[in-house]
Amino acid sequence: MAIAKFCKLDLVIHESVRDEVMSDLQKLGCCEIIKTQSTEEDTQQFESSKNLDEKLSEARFAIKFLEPHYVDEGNKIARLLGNKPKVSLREMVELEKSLDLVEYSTKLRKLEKKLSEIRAEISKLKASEEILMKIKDFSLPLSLLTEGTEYVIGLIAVVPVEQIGVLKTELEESLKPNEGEFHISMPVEKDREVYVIAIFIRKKNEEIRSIFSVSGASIVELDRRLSRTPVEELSKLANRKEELKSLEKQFLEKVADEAQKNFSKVQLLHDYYELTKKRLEALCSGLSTEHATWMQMWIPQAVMDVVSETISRYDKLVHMGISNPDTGEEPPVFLLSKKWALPFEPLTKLYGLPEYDGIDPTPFLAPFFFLFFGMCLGDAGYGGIFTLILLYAILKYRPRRDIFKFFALLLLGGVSSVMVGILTGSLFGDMIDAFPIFEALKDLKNSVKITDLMHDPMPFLGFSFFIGFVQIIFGLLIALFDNLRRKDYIGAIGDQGGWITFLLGLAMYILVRAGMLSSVFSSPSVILSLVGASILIATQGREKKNIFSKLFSGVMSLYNITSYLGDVLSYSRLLALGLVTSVIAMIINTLTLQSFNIPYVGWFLGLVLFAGGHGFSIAINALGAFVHSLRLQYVEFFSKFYKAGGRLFEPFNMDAQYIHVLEASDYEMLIRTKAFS
Amino acid sequence: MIMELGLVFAILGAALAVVLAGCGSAVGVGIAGESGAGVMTEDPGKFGLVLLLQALPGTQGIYGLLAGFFVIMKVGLLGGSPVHVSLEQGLAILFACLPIAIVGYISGFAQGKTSVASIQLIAKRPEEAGKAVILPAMVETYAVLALLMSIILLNSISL
Repeated sequence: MAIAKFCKLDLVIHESVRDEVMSDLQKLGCCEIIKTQSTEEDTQQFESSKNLDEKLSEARFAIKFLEPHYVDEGNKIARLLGNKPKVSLREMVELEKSLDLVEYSTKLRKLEKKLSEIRAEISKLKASEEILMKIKDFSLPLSLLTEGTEYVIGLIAVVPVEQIGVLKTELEESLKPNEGEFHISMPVEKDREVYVIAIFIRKKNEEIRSIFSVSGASIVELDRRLSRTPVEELSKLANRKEELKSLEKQFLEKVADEAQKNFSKVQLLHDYYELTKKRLEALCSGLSTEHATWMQMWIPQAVMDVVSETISRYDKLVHMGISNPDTGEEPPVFLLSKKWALPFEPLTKLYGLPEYDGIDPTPFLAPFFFLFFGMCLGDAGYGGIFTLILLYAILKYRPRRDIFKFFALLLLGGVSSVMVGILTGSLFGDMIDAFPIFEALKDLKNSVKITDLMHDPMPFLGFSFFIGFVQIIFGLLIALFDNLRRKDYIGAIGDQGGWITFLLGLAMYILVRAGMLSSVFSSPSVILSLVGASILIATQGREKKNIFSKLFSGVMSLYNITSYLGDVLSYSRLLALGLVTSVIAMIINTLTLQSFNIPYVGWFLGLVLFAGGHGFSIAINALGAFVHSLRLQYVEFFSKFYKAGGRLFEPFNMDAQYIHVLEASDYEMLIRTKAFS
Repeated sequence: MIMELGLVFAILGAALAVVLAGCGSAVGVGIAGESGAGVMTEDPGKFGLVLLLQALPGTQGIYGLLAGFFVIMKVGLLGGSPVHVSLEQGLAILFACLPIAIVGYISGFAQGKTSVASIQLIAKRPEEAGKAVILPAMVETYAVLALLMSIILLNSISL
């Protein structure tokens, strides 16, 4: 029972208990609602949905606004790993009553507006300041430029450097000494534009302006409030900026204060509304009349009694009908692995869940993945450190569900590496042999060692091929039994039976020829191969019509042997990755030894190199070990028997973004304990 | 010390392994990084996943380095006295380095391109991260096989 069996539940709920029933089901969290309506009907038909969306979006705004200012005192990593604060439903309801989110977020919006106003003014000041710095030498009041006097007016403009010459001559021509004057600021280094100030009698205004615009200058509209000389104005601006900065700081403190006080409350409310919305949406997937709602849902058979007990409390106000899935219907898939295979579940999910009536590959891949990871990382020291890190992470952060499983999986990988490392005599590579201080351990290491990758990689390569062959045959056997279960006898005997016999015969033949198997097996191996080949020739063309194409397809199918050969050879990566670990470790050890020879600081450099190098090596090799062990499952193993295509079980529950609802039962735990009891 | 021609060829082999495989990885990691940076402009939270995918084409460089180290340890240039390497032996070492050098270069580049595609995949569907990691790993197979062959060949040359 690797894939949970499901039943279909029909509920007709009277309106008077509708909310209670839904709330109870949500707390149980193990029903998947079936959408009986094809179109999304408006949730507005229920009174409680009023303003829900508005409140939710206000909550999102508040969270987004407060988050950068919130100093998290709790454990961030733990939260990231799914360890959320526990809150009871009662607390949520009470908070909902005491804190009006819409009102509160209006308050926040005011703060936000104030802050952005202050910031806008500061940036405006900065812009004015920049201009004033450029025309610092101008000693007259700026009001002359902005407003002018009765007879005199001026302007300030930015001119491209290359236009200065032209502008200068034109201005000199136009302005007689008693009509006005102008001043061009000196360009500094890479400036591509310079500021030009001109003061002239009013009646020349039009003419001068056109001279400026013709020469490509842009006239700067100064802030009207700037009336004194640039130097005076600059100090005024600096003062104002100081004021604004301190004002900004005050407001920021206010926001930080709000964040510290209310951030977690807002998160809580967000989740409360989110859960309420989930409930409403669930209701809306059923059909409602004035007084009753009809709903359908998938429920794992194992927890059926718990659900019906909950429902029966409502007596006649809820009617319940249970049926098995009809043919053509697709119930969701929930994997039920035994405890030992549980950590490997994420691997199956990663590839894609099996179909509802398919096979769960988790227990089949588990021992292979365990072994492969160990062979790829393959070092007792690395495995030990890896195990300790994961053990620490699991105990400290207590992750939940799939994250926990994944951590447990990696932990098992570490354990496996320790075992492989001991058998291949690898502890931080060749550390024991390389450093004279470990002399004493040498005999111990050598006494448990059965093979050495560095000096003689061939036995390990042979073992890699062997275990690969075993996995491929195993995969074919699973497919064979699956075909028998589906009563496809020709498929079982022809497709899998033929190949299994053929491959076993060939393998035996190769071993006999290589002298690894006694020659007694010589003729049985030939017979086995021939039997296998004949089965294949006889069956592989069974879909073709006439006898010749049947025969042709049958013979051609033998060509597939190359793909099996490729599959087995692919397992040589187990040796290659194991070697990579050993060689990198050996290089690090050699370099460490060399750096010990450096006078005075050598020991320190050596230790840094040793720790940093092996740390890096663990990270890179663990990644490689994971990815390649996984690939062997997906590509070489799964292709023999596994077909994904199931739909993940998505129960209607109380899983929320920021908190963990105290009353909610953990549906995974519930289903598992019920199913295995 | 007078360098023998054999030793020179051995060093050429080590250098080629490190240089070509390293270049392949550099290109691969480089293009994956560009794509990753683009994805992160939308969602900086994907940093971890993007980094993982960017790191995948980096292994060829390490394999090259590994083969290079293997060679210089074999000829005694690192931590030991140089051994006598005849011209034939030197050439043999050079040839033994070629698998990881050439395959490392090309597969690093190809794996980088697959990583780019995978990064685009997780940009749209982060829940498919597992599959996104597997695709570039398919390319790496050939670098692993080449490294295996280089090491077995190097191991079989007796000095």
